[in-house]
Amino acid sequence: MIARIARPAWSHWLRASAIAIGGAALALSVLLLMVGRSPAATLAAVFLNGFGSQLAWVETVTRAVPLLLCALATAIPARAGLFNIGVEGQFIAGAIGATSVVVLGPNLPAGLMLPAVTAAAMAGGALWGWLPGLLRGLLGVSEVLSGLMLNYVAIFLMEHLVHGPWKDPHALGWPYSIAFPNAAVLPRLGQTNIHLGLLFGLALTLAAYVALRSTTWGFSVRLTAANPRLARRAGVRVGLLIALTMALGGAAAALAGLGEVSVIQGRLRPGLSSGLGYAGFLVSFAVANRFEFLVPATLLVAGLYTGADALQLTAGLPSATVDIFMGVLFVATFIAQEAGKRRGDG
Amino acid sequence: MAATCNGTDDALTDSMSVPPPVIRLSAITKKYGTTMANDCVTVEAYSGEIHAIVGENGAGKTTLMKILAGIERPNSGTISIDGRPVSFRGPRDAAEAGIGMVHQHFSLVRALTVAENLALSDRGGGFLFSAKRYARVLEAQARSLGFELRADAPVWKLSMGERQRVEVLRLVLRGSRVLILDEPTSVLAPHEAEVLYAHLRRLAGEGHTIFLVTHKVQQILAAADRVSVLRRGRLVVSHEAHGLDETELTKLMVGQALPAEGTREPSKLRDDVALRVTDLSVPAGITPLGLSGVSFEVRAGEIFGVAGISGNGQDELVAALVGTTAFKGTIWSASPLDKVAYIPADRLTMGVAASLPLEENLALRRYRMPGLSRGPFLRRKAFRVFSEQLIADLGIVPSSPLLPIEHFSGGNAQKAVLARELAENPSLIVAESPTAGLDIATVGLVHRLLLEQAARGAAVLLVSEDLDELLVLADRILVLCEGRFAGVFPPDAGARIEIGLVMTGASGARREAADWGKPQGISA
Repeated sequence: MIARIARPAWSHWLRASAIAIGGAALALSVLLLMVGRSPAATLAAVFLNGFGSQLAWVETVTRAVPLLLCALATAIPARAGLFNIGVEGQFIAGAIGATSVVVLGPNLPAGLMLPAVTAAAMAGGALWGWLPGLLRGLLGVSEVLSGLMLNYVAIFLMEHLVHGPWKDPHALGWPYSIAFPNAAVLPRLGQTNIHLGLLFGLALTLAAYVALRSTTWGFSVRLTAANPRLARRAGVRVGLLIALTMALGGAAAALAGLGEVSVIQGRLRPGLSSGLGYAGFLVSFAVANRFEFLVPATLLVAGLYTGADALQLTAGLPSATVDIFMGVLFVATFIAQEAGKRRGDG
Repeated sequence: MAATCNGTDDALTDSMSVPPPVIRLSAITKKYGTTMANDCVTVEAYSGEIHAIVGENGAGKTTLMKILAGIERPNSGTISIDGRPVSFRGPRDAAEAGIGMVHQHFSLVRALTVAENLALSDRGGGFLFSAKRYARVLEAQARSLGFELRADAPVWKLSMGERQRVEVLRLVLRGSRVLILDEPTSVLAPHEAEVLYAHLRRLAGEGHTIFLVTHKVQQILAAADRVSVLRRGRLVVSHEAHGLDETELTKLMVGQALPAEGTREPSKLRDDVALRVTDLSVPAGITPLGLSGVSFEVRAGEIFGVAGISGNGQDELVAALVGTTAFKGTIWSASPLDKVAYIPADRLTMGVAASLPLEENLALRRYRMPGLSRGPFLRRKAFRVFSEQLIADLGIVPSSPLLPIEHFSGGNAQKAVLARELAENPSLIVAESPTAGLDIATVGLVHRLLLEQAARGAAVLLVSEDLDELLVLADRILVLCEGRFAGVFPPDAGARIEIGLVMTGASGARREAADWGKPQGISA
């Protein structure tokens, strides 16, 4: 009736995280003992490989960049009350958009190449987010289902392109597009693979944080999430707002796709994303889609990926270890969050 | 079982004679955060007793009953049945101990028939199910308990009163000896409430124990055997209903002298029409009846009541006025319809954004206006000033602008809705059961605000199922029956019975449509 509860804030979130990480470590220890490894040594190795040296940090940040952008792609629509399950497809649509410039306009002046590639990538991703957003906003079609299905459309579109019209004639039958010319590759930091996407990600996170808290638009977004009918009565054009947040999310995912296709792979090829869209979704929901926590959470998860990956090489553990590791961590996080909520409700 | 909070508790036991009470809630304490929802409450009820739990919003009535029904667990205190202490891990335990609760919002499946609904909670049934045979058995059982039941009817076709009786029957058939009804009359027309009380009386006569949670003082004294008054989580008194009077009981609930009712100025209806509705029809959908061909005018400065049993077209009328449904006919309003102030009956889905803080709920109709924003940015300080003013004006408690509104009591959430909507100086106000479920002090405040708005020159369309409220507040009362215009009446005492009859369609004496243009004199 008149329950008065302090707002779940920092302390709540920190406690939930601590429980999650502790729980995950415990579960993993059991698994490691089962295969005859020392849990303490293995987990320490994960941590050291992820965060223990400059080299480790470079690798961690490199992985964090697309992860952050994909987490943003989830978080922005989520704050309007939407589940953007289509991040994977938006990522690929962004890569396709970028590649379209390289394939169709190879003679663009070098100075225009990068802006054109970036714009085309964002347009592709935004379109892929906007479609389920529009269906949801105008017709009430679940964005979860349409987004999920559009993931497959994007994947098969990409397959079609690299096997067919966009196939590099010199690739000896391999399904590749032609390589990105240097002018179309996002600038990098020194010799590393950390690219301009990092700045995009950080700037977008900050902008989203400020916009949500301090602008009328952000208020409309929060109001729509809290009560769409009331938002409509307060003059918010809910359908358009939903489509817009989904398009923004798609554009963020597309920037991750752009970085991957131009910097990491250098060309459009199948298997481009390897589930980054879903990983970003998990990171975002693990911090309740709060922008202020996205960067640290992304770094932590990217570092654990890096560290666990290194285990394959150094400790001879199978590659599935990484996935088990991350799976356990996310499940533990969601349990801790829900458990915290229950307690709060009394 | 040792009560550790104060002496009243043991004294109560000692004074009781031999058979132990069917239910004894002993020194129950329940905290939500720092708020004591129940503070060492001890209540006893005997077989065959109708026991009213009364108090204002947030007094802890529902919490106490939820503890008895196993839905909430107390921080301390014990429950005994027939003198034996029990402990409930959940509602199922309570149900097995013979305790059942009918909630304010019913839990029937609307698309299923009555028989199917009851079969859902019938554990005795086998794998194969004959709906027809079950329905016959059910009707016979119901009749033996004094209930008339249309077992084949889908639930959505039933009136609220009938649905409630199905809920009660479900508990009785499941073997519940102790029935808890939370605000049972809040959804009922007056005569339906009578029917309900008659049924409860009969069940009590057969040895059931019945708890009624309510804040409707008048009804309780007639219906209950014993009254327990809660105030701010504490038990004020537990007393036989016989020998209590209305004013005394109200004072016990409120804990102070009664707030002044809004007093009514003699009507000074103006000539300017604020709202003209012509031949308005809304297809069935919101409720099964829809609205057909309703016409009326509301003048500036008038409180125009809309009476009727729920589901007879009021929802459709309001939805059309606030623009949430398609309609035929015309609605002409002196001010644009998006400027209409709307006080919805369903606060949680239409009135507030539950997870947002109080101050944002207060500001959500004007956050894009220059005062509260500059360019694309919100002016947080202006938000605070604006909201603190409204919080102080309406006495919203707790006065914490940043607390999400879901943590406020119903009455304070309603104050927030009123504050927000009336802050726009609307020229048309659509208020839908604005006092349903509120305590006396808040009801008084709502009435006063509506009268002030009318005095300021606003037109108020007041939809209410509480005929007494309409008779006190309204200048004229439109009655809807089965989605049709059934007359416009003056709010005098003589019209009361006629309105009641017209509401239920019992009277053929519908007033001619020609009446509605003319404001009626007020003689109450």
